[in-house]
Amino acid sequence: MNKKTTAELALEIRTLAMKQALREGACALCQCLSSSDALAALFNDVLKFDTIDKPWMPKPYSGVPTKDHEIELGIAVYGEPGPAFDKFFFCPPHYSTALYSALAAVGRLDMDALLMFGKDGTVMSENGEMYSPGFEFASGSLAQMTSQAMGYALARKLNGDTGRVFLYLGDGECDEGQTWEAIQAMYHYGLNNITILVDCNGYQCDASCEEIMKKHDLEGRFKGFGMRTFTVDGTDHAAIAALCNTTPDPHAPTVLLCNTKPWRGFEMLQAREPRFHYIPSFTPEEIACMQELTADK
Amino acid sequence: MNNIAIERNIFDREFVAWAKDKPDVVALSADLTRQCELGGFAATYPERFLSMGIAEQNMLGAAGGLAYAGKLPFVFTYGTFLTRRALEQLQLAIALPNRKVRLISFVCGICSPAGPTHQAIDDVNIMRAIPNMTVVECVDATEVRAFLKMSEDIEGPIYVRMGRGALPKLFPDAPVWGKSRVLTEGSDIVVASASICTQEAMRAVAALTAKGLSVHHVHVASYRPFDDEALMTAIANSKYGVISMENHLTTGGLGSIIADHMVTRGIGKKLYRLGVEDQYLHAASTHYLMMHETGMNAMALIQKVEEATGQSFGIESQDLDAEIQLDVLGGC
Repeated sequence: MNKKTTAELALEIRTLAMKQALREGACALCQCLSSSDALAALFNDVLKFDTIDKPWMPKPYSGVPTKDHEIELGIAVYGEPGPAFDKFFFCPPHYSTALYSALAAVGRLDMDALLMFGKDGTVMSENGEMYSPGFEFASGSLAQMTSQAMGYALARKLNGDTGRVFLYLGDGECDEGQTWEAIQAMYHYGLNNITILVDCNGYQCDASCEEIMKKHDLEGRFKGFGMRTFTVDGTDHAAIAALCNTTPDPHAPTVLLCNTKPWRGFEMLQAREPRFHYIPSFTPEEIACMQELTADK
Repeated sequence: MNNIAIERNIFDREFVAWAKDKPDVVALSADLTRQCELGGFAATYPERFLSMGIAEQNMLGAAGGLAYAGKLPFVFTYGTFLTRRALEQLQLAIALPNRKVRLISFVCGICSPAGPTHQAIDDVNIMRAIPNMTVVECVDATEVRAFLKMSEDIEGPIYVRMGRGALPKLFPDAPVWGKSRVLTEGSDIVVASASICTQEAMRAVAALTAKGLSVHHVHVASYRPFDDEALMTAIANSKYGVISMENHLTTGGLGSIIADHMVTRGIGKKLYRLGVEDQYLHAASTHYLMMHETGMNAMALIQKVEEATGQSFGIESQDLDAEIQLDVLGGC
């Protein structure tokens, strides 16, 4: 359903995010920029899902699960689940704009759904919820999805399912102790069906990782827990796709540390150093720049 | 009371038998396997026994993921670790998506000699505030034996305070989910007891009845949902009101549940509460804590009845039936 090159797709993800920023006047834009290349590589060259007839148009928000009410999960965008299809667990819910944009760009989410972003009564939540496009778990509290993904991957292993499990983390999330509890359990159970991508953009909510909580030798930490690790240029689509598609290690999960920048494709934002988490308002110069970058797109 | 049967390791055996033809059932342990009546399952079904290490937060999250993938996870650890250490994971990975997960919680209330780190004296209060959660307690042999079969009909999560080791068989048959069990009928005063308090309450009620008081005594095993019109009617019709007696803080547990229901129905009777007063306890045997530091004993109940009725019954501890010694529940 998607004929774009991976580079074109990455650019479109960034463009859609900037259009949202222009519409709303505020945006978690830098997460979209830093993750755009990895998301493009995953959706274009890695993830295997069911095909769908037409882009998904979400229904209005219908409530949370109770004994009397079942909800439609956000993974409706991936068609029918099946043991041979991949799973993509996208942990940082504040990156929702990036995922929504990617899904729209590859034709799995209706472009008009993007106009509902953050609106009450819709499932297009600012913080992706289990009913939001591309999501199926509550992950608003960081590291929560990592353990759920670990349990899911373990069930796949016990069932003999062939589908792979991909997990996307932010680097700030690696501060959480629960992340490492989950990583140690992945190794204990030999969950080589898991590939983790970490968006190492170097910044978290307040400021840089260096200032807020040092992540000394993050690759060494994963390696020390038994993971097979790679550090890649987070804009190198071919390298990311090749590593994601490589033959699994006989035992270990695979971790890709993707080195990225929060101002990818929008250099002017670098002046906001060190605060890139959420941009509550843009300067006139930034708005003009985004208008130029998104013109005719 | 002296001829009450004691049975050992009931849950361990029941779980092995029940899970035999249920291949989706998996058991998760945080390195407290024998301590949580899981030794039989681990030995019998090693491929379905999932050791999660001393990492409760991940264990609860993983249980949510396993349930989402179609497994039926049973999670085993102590009450404080489930409801304090891993509460957020329990809420977000299990309760919020309404996952079919069974949280098998041990050494609840004062049933641990390991002190306040292991004494879940607030777990009913915490768990009954969680949407989608069913909260029950099984510390009598008949309740433990009935739990697994009863659980089959509940699609959402269940938190169960489970008795371990040697347990008394106080009742003749299985409980009715959601309703209290009527032990004696009466019109002067209602006693609603739960957990290991019931055996002490039975001693007190027998002595009070012999003195001519008409006591309506019920045993409560279901905290949420709590849909017990018969109990509310008994309280409304009682002369002196109701006394709650629980293995829990006197705030937030059974006494508070009863208070909620009385108030919303406009039942204007007095409520007296026995249990652990507003404090943490310390490391000591269950028996010592019951008898000396909480309101969880027969003489405390008799004193409370005297306060409520304004009568003096002249009952001394030597007049009561023999105690059931609970220290066999011990071990860290």
